[in-house]
Amino acid sequence: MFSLDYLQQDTIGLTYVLNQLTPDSPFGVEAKKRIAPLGYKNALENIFDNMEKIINLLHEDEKSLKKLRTHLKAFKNIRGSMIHSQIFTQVELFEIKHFLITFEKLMLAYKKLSIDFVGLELYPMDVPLAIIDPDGRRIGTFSFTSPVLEEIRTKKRYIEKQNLMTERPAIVEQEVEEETRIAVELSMQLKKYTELFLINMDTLGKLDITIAKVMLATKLQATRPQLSETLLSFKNMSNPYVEDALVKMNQNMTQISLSMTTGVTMITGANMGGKSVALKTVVLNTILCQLGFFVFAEFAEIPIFDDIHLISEDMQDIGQGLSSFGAEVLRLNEIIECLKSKRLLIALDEFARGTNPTEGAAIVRAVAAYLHESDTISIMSTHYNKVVSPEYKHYQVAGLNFPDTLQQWDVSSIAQNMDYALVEVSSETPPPQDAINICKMIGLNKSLLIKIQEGMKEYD
Amino acid sequence: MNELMPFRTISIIGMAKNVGKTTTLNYLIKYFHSQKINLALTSIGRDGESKDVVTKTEKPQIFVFSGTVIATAENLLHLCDITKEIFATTNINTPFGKVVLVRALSDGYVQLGGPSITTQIADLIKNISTDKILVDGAVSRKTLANPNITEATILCTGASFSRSMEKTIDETRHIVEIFMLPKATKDGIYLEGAVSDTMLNNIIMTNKKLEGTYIIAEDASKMLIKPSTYEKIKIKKAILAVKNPIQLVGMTINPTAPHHAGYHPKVFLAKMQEAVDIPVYDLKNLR
Repeated sequence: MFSLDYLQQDTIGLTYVLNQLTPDSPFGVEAKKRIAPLGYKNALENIFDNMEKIINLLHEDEKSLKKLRTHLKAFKNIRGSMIHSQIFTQVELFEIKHFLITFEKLMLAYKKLSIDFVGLELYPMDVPLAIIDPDGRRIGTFSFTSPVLEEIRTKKRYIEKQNLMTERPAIVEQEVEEETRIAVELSMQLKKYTELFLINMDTLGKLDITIAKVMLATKLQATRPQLSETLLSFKNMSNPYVEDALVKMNQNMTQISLSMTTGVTMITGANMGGKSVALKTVVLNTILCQLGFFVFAEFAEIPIFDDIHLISEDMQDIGQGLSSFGAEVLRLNEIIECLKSKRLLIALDEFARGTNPTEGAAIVRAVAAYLHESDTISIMSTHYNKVVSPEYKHYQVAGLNFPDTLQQWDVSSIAQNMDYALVEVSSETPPPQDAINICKMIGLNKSLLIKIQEGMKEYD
Repeated sequence: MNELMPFRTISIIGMAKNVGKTTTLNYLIKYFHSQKINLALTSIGRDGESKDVVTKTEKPQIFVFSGTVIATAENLLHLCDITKEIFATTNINTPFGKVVLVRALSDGYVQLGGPSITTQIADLIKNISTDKILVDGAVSRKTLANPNITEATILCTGASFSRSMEKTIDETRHIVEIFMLPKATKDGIYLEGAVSDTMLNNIIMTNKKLEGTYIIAEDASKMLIKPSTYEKIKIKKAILAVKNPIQLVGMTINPTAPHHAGYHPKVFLAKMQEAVDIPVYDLKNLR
């Protein structure tokens, strides 16, 4: 999805969210596989409008929505038959009839809603239904029938009754011949409507996936994002994937609020302070919006992007013969190549973390300056000192509350006393020196801790 | 055949090819038809070819009556000469396409090709609403009569199993014994999955006292042991048992064989009836 590899899609929580999208029909399942960035504001607004209409329906007339979903669940996929079969078999004809009867029921329920969905128009299939169910009995079974067949079958029954088994093969042959003739005739007539079948199946898929998105948004409390020109802004944003993991450890995720626009935004802060989580959550929600999903925030303004890049320590190319720094540099080069031609969101998580601090800081400073000059929105997290220029936006993790009263600490108490909130600060604000505090909390050997503290004084 | 009446699902399994599995199936179909019992048929995997692929002998096909429900693979339908009404398709796939549910609108011959995975058979059975369901089982000890599938089982055996009548009777008696292993009523040595001779021999060698000890398998189809091993267990006075017992309700025998002269029907029937504690029928020589 965009320029994120599968591993990155997993770690930001996109896979987690998509796995919870469960369409009812086989056409919805197909539509899910085709989910891709929309790229146009209008297209997204239409989807969001449709979703809001379904949300209203969910609140005002849940019964009707349930009915619609029951019909969607009843469908079997006949796309393969419609495209590939020249002459339908009896089983295919049964499934086509089943599709058409189900479609008729759904169409009735759909019309009753009298909601004007955009781009979700279903076209009546009365004509093909009349071909396969001429007497209009709408019985959910299929057998070949014709006056000729009736005659043949009466003879067949007679032969069986009289036990004239030597005459049976000939009459069976006649029956098969007549059935084949009917199959060919029905196929010829139905094939004329292939296009209609395919269009309606696509629309059913779109309708189904829209309902599935609403059910997902309701379950995980997502909201409709506002589409903006260049402002990327979130109020009380969260990440259900991280939340799920934290809840399992009896912890809650701190909601994140931040706002940025064209240029560079820096996130600095303590080790274990959640800089990566903040960055990944921004990327997750921005991607979801581009795919026509509601986002996990109280309020969000998001522009349309042509591409979204994330450079993080969990990229797939690392470990495939590349050091993490090597992989980062290669990806950065790819990004720079399309800086001018595309609207980009670039997220760099602790870029150059694997190098020595002197070179690392210099690299981060230069990359930031370069990106700031371009017409893109870039968000970078770093724990290097003195890399934030005054013209950048600067957020810092609020950091540790370190009560002196307590003596014994462990890893979980760090989480309990860390304030993961992002606070906007000036460019001069130095990163907090929580590393030594964390050493204390985890219970690093006392004499070693004293040596570290002495060393810090000398360095200052 | 009264012993079959309490059971809704019945599987038919064979000790070998040509032991009269299809004859038995046809006999039951006719019997249930005469009793006006609404019937459904399916199979584990594919069987019922008009000519046996392996031995090239004439093999009776399955003949059903109007109204019977058939669960078979879609690409075998052209081999069924009944007038067909399709009323459901499933998501169960077989090498011959997906399994579909068909109602016979006339009498005629059918080819059965059901799921080969036992859990799918169980699912399929749940979706059929006839009075009785017959499952044509495979000729393989591994999937035979898995108690999770059917409530009752009929075993078919016959002369094609071996030239020696003694051997056929001995092996059949052993299988019947294994199938009739009791349900474990107390804890013991529980053996997960297939139980082999080696496993049981190890238990015999490493345990001095086994008297009264239960040695438990999941079900009889997992108990893949030789008669000699079972004898050793009996000498040690240990008790073989299963978690899920099989209801073996009867046996049919076929004294003829394609490759040799066969056995004397009356002698074979009498000896088999003596050897096992379940009803034995020779369907071709019923008096």
